[in-house]
Amino acid sequence: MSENPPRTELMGSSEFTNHHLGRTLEVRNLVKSFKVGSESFGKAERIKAVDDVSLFVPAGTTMGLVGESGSGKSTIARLICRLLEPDSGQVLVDGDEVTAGTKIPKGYARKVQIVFQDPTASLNPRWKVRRLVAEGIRVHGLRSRSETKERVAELVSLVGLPEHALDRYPHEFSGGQRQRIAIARALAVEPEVLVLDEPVSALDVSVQAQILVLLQELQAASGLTYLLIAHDLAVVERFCDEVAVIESGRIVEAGDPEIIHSRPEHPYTKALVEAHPVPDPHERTMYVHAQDKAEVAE
Amino acid sequence: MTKFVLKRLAHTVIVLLGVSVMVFFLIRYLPGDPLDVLFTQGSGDEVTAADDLAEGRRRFAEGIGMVGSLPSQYLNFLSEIVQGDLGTSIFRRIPVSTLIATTLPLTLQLAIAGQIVNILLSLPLGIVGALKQNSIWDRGGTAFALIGTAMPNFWQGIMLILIFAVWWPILPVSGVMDLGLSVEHITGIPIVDAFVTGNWPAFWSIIRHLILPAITLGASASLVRILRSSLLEVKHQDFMDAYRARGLRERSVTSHMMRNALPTTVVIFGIRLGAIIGGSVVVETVFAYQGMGWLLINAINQRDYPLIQGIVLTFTVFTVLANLLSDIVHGWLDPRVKVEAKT
Amino acid sequence: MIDTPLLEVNDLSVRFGSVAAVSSVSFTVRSGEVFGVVGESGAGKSATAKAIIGLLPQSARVEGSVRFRGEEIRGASDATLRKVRGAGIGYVFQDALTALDPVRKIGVQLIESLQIHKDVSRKEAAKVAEDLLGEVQIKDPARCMSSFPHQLSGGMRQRVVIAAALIADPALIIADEVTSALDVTVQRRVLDLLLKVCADRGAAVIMITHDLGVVAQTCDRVAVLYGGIVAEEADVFDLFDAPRHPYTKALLQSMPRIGEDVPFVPIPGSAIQVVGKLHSCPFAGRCSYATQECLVDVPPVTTEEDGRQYRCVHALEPVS
Repeated sequence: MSENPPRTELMGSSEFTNHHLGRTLEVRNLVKSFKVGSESFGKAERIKAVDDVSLFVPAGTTMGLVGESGSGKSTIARLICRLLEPDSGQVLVDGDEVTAGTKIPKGYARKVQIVFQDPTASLNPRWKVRRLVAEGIRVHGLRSRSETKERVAELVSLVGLPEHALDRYPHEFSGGQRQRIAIARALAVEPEVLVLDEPVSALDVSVQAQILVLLQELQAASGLTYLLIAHDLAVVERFCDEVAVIESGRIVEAGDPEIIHSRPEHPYTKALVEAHPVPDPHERTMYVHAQDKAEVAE
Repeated sequence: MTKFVLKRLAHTVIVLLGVSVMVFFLIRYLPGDPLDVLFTQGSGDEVTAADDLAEGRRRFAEGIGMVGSLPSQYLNFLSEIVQGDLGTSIFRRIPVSTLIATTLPLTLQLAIAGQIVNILLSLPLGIVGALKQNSIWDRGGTAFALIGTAMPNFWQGIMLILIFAVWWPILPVSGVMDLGLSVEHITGIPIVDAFVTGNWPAFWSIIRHLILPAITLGASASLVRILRSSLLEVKHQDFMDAYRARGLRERSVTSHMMRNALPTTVVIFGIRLGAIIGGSVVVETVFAYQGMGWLLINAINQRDYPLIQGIVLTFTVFTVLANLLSDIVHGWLDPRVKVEAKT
Repeated sequence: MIDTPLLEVNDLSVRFGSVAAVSSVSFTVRSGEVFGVVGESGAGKSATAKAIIGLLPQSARVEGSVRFRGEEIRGASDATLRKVRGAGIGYVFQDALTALDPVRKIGVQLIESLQIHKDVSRKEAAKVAEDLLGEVQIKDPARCMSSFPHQLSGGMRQRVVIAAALIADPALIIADEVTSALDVTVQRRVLDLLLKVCADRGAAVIMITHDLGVVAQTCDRVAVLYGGIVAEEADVFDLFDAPRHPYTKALLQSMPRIGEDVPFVPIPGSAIQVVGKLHSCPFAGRCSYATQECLVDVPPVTTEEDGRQYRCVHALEPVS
C-alpha cells in the first residue's frame, strides 16, 4: 500500500474531470509471430501476425485500427496490453517504455486498460458489479476501502447504469449494459490509454451508438487516449481522429478518416470501402443485378 | 498412420518400463517374503534343518534371481523380459508365461461378455435418453446408470449370487463350467473352442457360468451417460436442422446423429475396455472365475513376485493397446481427427 | 393475372414458455423478390424464419397460418412438410461450419438432399451437385465433392451451404443472417452470389438480417421487426427515404454512416423480451413519441394505398 499511495491528487473530485489527462501511446516496430502446424514432427512454421507495426496516438485522441479477421488487429491490442509478449519492438505509454524481453515497468498494467468485444466472456459471472469494478482498485492499491466504495458507485453512474446495478450479477444485464460494466471496470484504475477491441460489434445497432456516444463523452471529459479496433468502416470513420488500415499484420494505409471516405489509395482499403454495405438503397453499388432492379424501379 | 502407430508403440514401451519399476519395487516393500513361507523350520534336528533350510533357501533364491541388491535384481528381471522370459512362478513352479496363456483367454472371454452386456444396456438407454430428453425413460436410464456406477462390483456380484444362485438357484455360483466337462484346446478361449468343436453341453455350461459375472461387469452401463451426452451434443447442432430443412426423414436425421456421436463413444469405450479388464480382477475373485484377475489375487496373497509382475505387465499391455486401438478407430470415424502426422 | 403470393404468413405467433418471441406477424412474399426481415436481437426474426418451415423445437407454441403457394404448411403433416422443405423452401443457415455434417463428405450430403426430392440416379445427382458447386463459384467442384466440411475455408463453406439449400431447386430461399459472421469483403461476394443464383433460378429470397446496410443493398421490400411484431413494412426505398414508424427512424439515425457529418443518435434502453401477451406497443418504452395511448394496446395495422403498412399511433408524416 505504501508504495502506491491513493492517487487522490489526480482523481480527487467527485466527477470524472479534466484533472486526469490521457497520455500518448506509441508503438514502434512491433513484431509478433505464431507457430503453426505440428511441432512434434519438426514441420512447425512461423507466421507473422504482426509485422513491423508502428503507431502514434496523441494524448486525448482516438486512433482507429481497421481490418478483417486474421489481420492481426486483435494481436496488436494484446501486445500493447502485454497480454502477449512481442518478438521485438516497443510500446511507449507516457514515456514508460515496454520493450520486448524486458520487465514491464511498475504501474504499466494500470495505465493501459482493455475493453473486449464480448462483455459476457470478460466479466466473472460469479461476481457482483460492485466487486467487478472494485477489483482493479484493490489490486493496484489505489484507494482506501471507503473511498473505493464511493468511487465504484461514481463509476457505475458515470457509465450510465442505475445505482441498484451494483448488487447485481453480469447475467442480469443486457449486452450493452454489460459493456458499460466492462468500461467502468477499465476506468476504475484510472488508466491513461484505453484499448477498445471491437467494443460494439457484439451489440445491436441501436445499442452500439449508445456505447460509442458514452466513449466519446468520457474522452471529452477526461482526455483519455483510445485505440479503437474495429472491422466496421463506418464506426471507425465517424469515431476516430486517425485511422490505420491493417492487412496481414502490416499497416497498409494510415491517416485521417478521409482515407476511408473519399481518398482510399491502397487497393486493400479500396476493397474494404467497396465491400461496405452502404445503408442507402439509392447507392446500390455492390450487387450488380440488384442495381439493375433499382434502375428498373426508378 | 504407420508413423502414428510406431510413435504410440514407443510410448507403450515407456509406460511398460514405468509400470515394471513400480510393480517390481512396490511388491517387494509389502510385508511378507515368499521364501519364508517355503522354507519354514520344521521339527527334528533343528540345527542341521536350519542349516539345510538356509542352504536350500539360498540356492532357491539364486535360482529365481532373488539375490543381490534390488536394483540389480530389477535389471536382471528387465533383461529377462526383453528376452521374452517372464520367469517362473515361485509356488507353482510353472513358467509365468504359461500361466498367463491359460488364464488370459478366460479373462478376455469374461471382459468381452461384460462389454456385450454393457453395450446391450447402454445403447437403448442412451439413445432413448437423448431422443426423448427429460422423459421418464431418460431419467430412469440415467438413474440406472448412476446406480450401476455407484455400486461396487464385488457387492453387485455377491448380491447376484445370492439372488440367482442361492435363493433362486437357476445359475451356477462360480467357476468357468460345470465339473466333469472339458473342451478341446484350440484357441484357448473355452467358449470359442466349445463352439468350433460342437461341444454343446460345455458351450451352454460356459454360457450359464458367464451370465452372472458378465452382468456384474457390464451392468454399470457405463456407456449410457457418455452416449447420451454425445448424442445430445450433436442433436442441438445446426446441421441436424439443416438436414430437416432439406426434407430428410426424421429417421435419416436420427441415423446421421448416431453417426456423429459414434467417434466420441468409441473413444470412451476403448478407455473403459482397459478399465473393465482391470475390473475383472474383483469379479473373477467373487465368482472364482479362474482367469488372470483371479490368478493375480492369488499371486498377491502368496507374494509370488514373478507371477504378479507378469500379470500386471500383461494388464498394462492390454490397457494401452485398447487405448491405441480406440484412437485409431476414432481417427477413422471422425475425419476431423488427424491420426497421421501432417506431411 | 391471378396472383397467389409465393408465401403468405398470417397472424403468426410463437411462444417459448411465457416468452412471446413473435406476436401476430403477417407478410407476403412474391415470386422472385428479395424480402428483408430486419430487426435487433430478440425481435423475432429467427423464430419467424424457423416457424415458416416448422423447425422450431417442440417446446415452442406456434399459432397462425403459413401458406406456401396457397397450401397451408403450418402444422401440416410430416409428409407435406418434407415435400416443401428443400424442394419448395430452402434454408441457408447462419453458421456455415455447423450447418454441414462434419463426418460426411460434401458430395454425399448434396446427393442425398437431391435424391430425397428427385427420382434421379446417384450419378445424375452427382452431376447436378457438381454443376451447382461450379455455379456457386467453387473452383474445383470435383475435389470439393470429396472433401469434408472442415477442409474448406469459411467462404467456401458458406457457398456449399448455399448450394445445399438450392440443390432441389426451391422457389424460396430463407437466408438467416448468412453473412453476419463473415468479413465485409467475403460478405459482399457471398451475398452477391446468393442473389445471383437465386435470380438466375427465379427464386425469391427472405433475407433475415440485423444489418440495415445489407437490407439497403439487397432487398426489394422490408419488414422491420421489433419485440415480435412487424413495426413497419414497406418498399426499401420508401423505408429508407421516409420511415413512418419511429423505431425505423431511430434505427436509421443510430447508424454511423461513412462520409456524413450528421451525428448518430442512440436509441435509449435496450431491446425488450416480451413476457406474457403483448398489450402495448413494444417500442413504447424507448420511443420519444410515446404517449399513454401507446400503452393501451398493440397499435393496429395501418395500410396505406401503396401497400405500405405500419403499427403506430404516432406515425411520422411522410417527408417530401
